[in-house]
Amino acid sequence: MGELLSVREVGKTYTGAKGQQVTALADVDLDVAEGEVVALIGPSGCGKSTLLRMIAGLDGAFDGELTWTKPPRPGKDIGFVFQEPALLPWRSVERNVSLGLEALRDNSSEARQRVRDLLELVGLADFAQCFPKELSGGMRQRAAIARALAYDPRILLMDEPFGALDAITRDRLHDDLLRIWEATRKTIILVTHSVEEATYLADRVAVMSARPGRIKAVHHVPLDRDRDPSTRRLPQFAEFAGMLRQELE
Amino acid sequence: MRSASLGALSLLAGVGLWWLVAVVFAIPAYRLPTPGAVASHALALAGEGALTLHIQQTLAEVVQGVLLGSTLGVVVAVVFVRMPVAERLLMPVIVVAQVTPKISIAPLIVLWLGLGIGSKIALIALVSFYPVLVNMVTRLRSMPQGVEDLVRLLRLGPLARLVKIDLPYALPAVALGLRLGVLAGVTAAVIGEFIGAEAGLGYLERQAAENDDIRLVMISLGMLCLVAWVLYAVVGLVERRVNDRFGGQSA
Repeated sequence: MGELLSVREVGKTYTGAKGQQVTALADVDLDVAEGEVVALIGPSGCGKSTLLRMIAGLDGAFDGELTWTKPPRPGKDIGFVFQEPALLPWRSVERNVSLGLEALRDNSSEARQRVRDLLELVGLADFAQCFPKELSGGMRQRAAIARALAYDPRILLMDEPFGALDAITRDRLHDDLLRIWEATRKTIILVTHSVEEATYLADRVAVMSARPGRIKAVHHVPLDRDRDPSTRRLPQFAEFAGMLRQELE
Repeated sequence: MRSASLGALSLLAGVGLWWLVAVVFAIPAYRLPTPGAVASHALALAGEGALTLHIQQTLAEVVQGVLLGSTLGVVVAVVFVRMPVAERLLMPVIVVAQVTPKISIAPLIVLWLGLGIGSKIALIALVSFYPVLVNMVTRLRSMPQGVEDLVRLLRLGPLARLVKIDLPYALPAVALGLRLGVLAGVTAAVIGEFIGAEAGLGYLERQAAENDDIRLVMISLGMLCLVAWVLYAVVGLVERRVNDRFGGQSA
């Protein structure tokens, strides 16, 4: 696994409402390897979403350096899943998923096949022609994941993608994401506030602290890559999650 | 269905009351003709085809004026949202034009554009432009952050963004603006026709008033009411369809 991205001494300061200087992020260093799943975890206000938006190119006002081994091509290499699905209500699931391909003017049969495969992968093949309002919350978020993957990006960035879902749906989407990773081997950076989610999904977990946002520690998850619901019952799982929880306190 | 029959019932009751008042108080027909007299006169005029021209004229004015006004509203809304400088420059002018009573602008427009349909279309466009503009600007400004971010991530160009995101997202607001614009548009049509025209229901009503023909005044008024109601209902129907497909927050 080669290096994909390195974050060096990244910081962000902005001027608050009362004119005071607020440090959102300070001295953030992080390396992300190709094919790796990295979870960013931390209390609210620690700047984890800000960091993710910087990596996505959605926030350009920061100090420090983001170095890519291969710079992301505009509109092509970054897949992003937001906390809300942000689907367009007037487009069918299939047309929502292929929005990125439309933007790239990619009308090839491979692209169309890819959309079908992705819908199959996220379990929405039978709902391709449905509209977002006809789907449940979990299905919408699955569609949003398929949309982010449709143009085959080099990296998938996820900003608390399961935060708005109920516990049962969330667990199911966790398994979906493991399956998606198995099938695509995408590099994934996942922002979350759930220690179980980070433990279950990630190879490494970066724990952040708030005010100013810093990376406190980066841990390897001591679990096989091959995970399934039974993994959650392993003692190592509980131990690691407990350690993370303690570190967040 | 129940509310429709209830509405019909209340309308009927109103007509009944009118009839009762006219008969019981023995009001002379040149003051308050009975609904029957008005209706039979209307049927006679309709039979001669004397109303058709005026109905067509007013309808044509409103439809063209509202189309022109709302198209302008959509274009200006997009420009304002993309270029806030344009909004700061132009909004004061637009607000002044909107707060000025339309009836006071109408003579000027009729002087400039003449007695024909052009002056009415201009006046209607002026009043229907604003609700579309304001509603669309508000809607576009409330685009969910996720959709905004998506547009940037996918590097959608300005035109692609307009066609694929902005216009469909704003359609419910356009429909709402259109519904309000149609009502204002009928009023503007009548004002224009009062000031100076060669045809139209407002023109007919004014002629009738000058001739002390109270039955024709009431017929013109009734026809105007009908025209406005039909247009409002049609746009309302379209609006419901649009809201169904394009409405709500993107989720």
